[in-house]
Amino acid sequence: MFKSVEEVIQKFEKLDYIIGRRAATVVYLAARLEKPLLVEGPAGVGKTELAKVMAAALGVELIRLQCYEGLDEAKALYEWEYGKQMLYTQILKDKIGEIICDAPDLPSAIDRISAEDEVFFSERFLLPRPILRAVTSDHPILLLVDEVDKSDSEFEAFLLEVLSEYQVSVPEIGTIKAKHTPLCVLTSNNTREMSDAIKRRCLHLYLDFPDPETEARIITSREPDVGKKLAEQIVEYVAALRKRDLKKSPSISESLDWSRALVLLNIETLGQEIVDETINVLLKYEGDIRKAAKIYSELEEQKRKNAEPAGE
Amino acid sequence: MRDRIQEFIAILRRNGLRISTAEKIELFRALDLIDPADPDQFRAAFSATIVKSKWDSKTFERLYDLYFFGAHDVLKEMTAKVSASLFPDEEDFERMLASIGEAENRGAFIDLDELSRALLTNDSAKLEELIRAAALKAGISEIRNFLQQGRYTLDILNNLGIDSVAERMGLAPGLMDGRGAGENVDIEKVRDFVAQQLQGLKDAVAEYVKRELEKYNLAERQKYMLDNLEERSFVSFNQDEIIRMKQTLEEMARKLKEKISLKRKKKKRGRFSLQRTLRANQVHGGAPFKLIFDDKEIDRPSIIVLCDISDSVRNASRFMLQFVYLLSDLFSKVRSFVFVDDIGEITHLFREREINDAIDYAFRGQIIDVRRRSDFGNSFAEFNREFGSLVDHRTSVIILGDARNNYRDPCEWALAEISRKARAVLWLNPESPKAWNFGDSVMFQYSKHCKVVREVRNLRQLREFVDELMLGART
Repeated sequence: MFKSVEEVIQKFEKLDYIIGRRAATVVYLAARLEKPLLVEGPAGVGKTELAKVMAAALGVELIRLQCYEGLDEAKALYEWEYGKQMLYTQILKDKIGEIICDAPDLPSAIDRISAEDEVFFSERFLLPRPILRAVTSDHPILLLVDEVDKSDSEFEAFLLEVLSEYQVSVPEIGTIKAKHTPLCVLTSNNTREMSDAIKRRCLHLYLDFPDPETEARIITSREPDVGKKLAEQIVEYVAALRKRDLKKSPSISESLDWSRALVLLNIETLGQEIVDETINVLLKYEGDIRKAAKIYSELEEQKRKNAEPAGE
Repeated sequence: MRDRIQEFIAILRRNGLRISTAEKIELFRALDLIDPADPDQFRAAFSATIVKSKWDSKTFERLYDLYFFGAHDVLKEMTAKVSASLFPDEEDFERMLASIGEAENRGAFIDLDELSRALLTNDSAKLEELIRAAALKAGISEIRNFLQQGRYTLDILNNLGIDSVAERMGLAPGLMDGRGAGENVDIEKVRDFVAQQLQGLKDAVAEYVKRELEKYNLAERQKYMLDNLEERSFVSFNQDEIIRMKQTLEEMARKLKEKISLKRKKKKRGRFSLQRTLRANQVHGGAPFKLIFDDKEIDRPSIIVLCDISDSVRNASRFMLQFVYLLSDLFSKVRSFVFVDDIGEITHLFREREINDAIDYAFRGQIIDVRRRSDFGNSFAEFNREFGSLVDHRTSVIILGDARNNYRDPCEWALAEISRKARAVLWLNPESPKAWNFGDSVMFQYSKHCKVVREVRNLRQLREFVDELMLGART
């Protein structure tokens, strides 16, 4: 358990994740108040990573549920292993025959079989999916519900139930209540708004693109081969790109990819040519790429103007 | 402190944030866990527990700054001004304050009231408290417009007892002298300081009132914006506003998309499919453990949009194109065209460029010449010639224009041809129906070939039209 906001920041940094004070405070609150945490923000800004690092920092196992459209309760909670049940039934045909062979009539035969119900609907044949695993875990865990905005509203309603009571009902077995309240982190790319009910249940963190200094630190810590000067040039340019109206602004993972690419090409400083040649690592849409080249030359122009001594 | 926070929450609620009691309780629990002196932690506690959407976030940031730094900021400014004018050297100022402090410790000011003492010793925390209390007494929460500022300022100053304070402050230098203040004290300077502080206080109160007004009226302004935005006619927007509207349009489009996908989902399941069920259940020996249904074919209309981009209709077209583009997920195919007296396709622009950029490009005259006068007839004829093959029985053709043909040939046959081939022709006219058929408008002639002719002069009507379009798609 985190004892303070500072501890969160330090532990995260040890795990190579540079976190801002505000975000660290929210993480701290989520852990202490034992409330689920909803992390929203643009793609590639480190939301999933945050959950992973949080689990590592707390020393708990991470259980991940990846959401997609059409994800339903069954796939998230549990499934019966029909195949196995069928197989066992076949193999045990003889034994079953023995049990009912001296039954006088059909109803009593059925009674005898139902008496053995628990055998076939026991945990032996239950395939636990992430949420059931989270609830039945013997030790504390962190449940990551990734890209929850991709799921539909029925799934959200189910999720809400789980998050409220931390218990699930398996009709054949009964209600299973979590031994340890799992820490939950939900991530969303904001492709749609979550329902009010979920939002109220969770603490909210909006993770945005970092400021240039922080981003430079992230780059140099993840890619030690990137020189300080190059890192500064990279973040300056990326920051300028994000201010423009691009179809898809470059995310942190993309700026890291670009840094890596530049290191592989032995580039020490940025130049118009290099930008033109490698920009497709950073930007993915044709229209954006075309704009980007222009933006770089504008940026250079601006820097030259600022560097000129006043009163020329 | 708790009262301050309760008050702040009340202000947030007034400004449109829906904060439930449970969330409020959570906020207090969170505040108990963090270090309130750390501004980052303090702010984070709020934003984590009560700010849950992007829209709320903007309002919250603004109000947070106004509320928690309102009076404090103002007083800091006041001090800065005073010290700058009296003591070019900051050290002198500190020394003077120190000597006043010594005098206070020696009990020189024991008979003075709270306010005078706070002013003398420059105790901004105390001053803030006093101003706030006086403001509350004056009923500052009722302030409604800028004309009332003067009155409230006066009321607050009276509640503070400014006149008697002025008198008593005047005595202060004497008090210091009398009780044996240090020799380094320049009594004249202290006198000046006192005078400055009094003036500064008046300024501070005025500024405080101004900020309170801003705070309480933020709600009104925002409400006006949101409510009336939908009702404002397209022509009333200027370029700037249209660009800023982008977020509102996205919001509208998103809500519409959700509503429609929700309706669609309910009907997604089609008939039971024997083949697929058997195949999927082979692993279970053919016993149907899992039932598979056919997916009902989602009826997505395919639409073609023709937008008149002559001056008179430009804004409406801009909104129409933006909206259609934002909703493109709902349609199986969208192709957009612009015309004045000639027609050109702009579908590819949306793929290559950002939406506003694409529209600007088209409007600048890069696709067709926009400086001409409208010729609907020729535009339709051209459309038939070049793009007629795009229209089939699944396509809905939406035309946005005022049907003002400048007394040119309306070429009804062209529109008739389109109408014959298409599933439906829907005409959106940004003019009031009363104006149709006056002057050079040929709406009447064109309406013969249209399934629906609608007035669309504001966002609400545009939204309602699209809503109906989607519902009607299944019929």
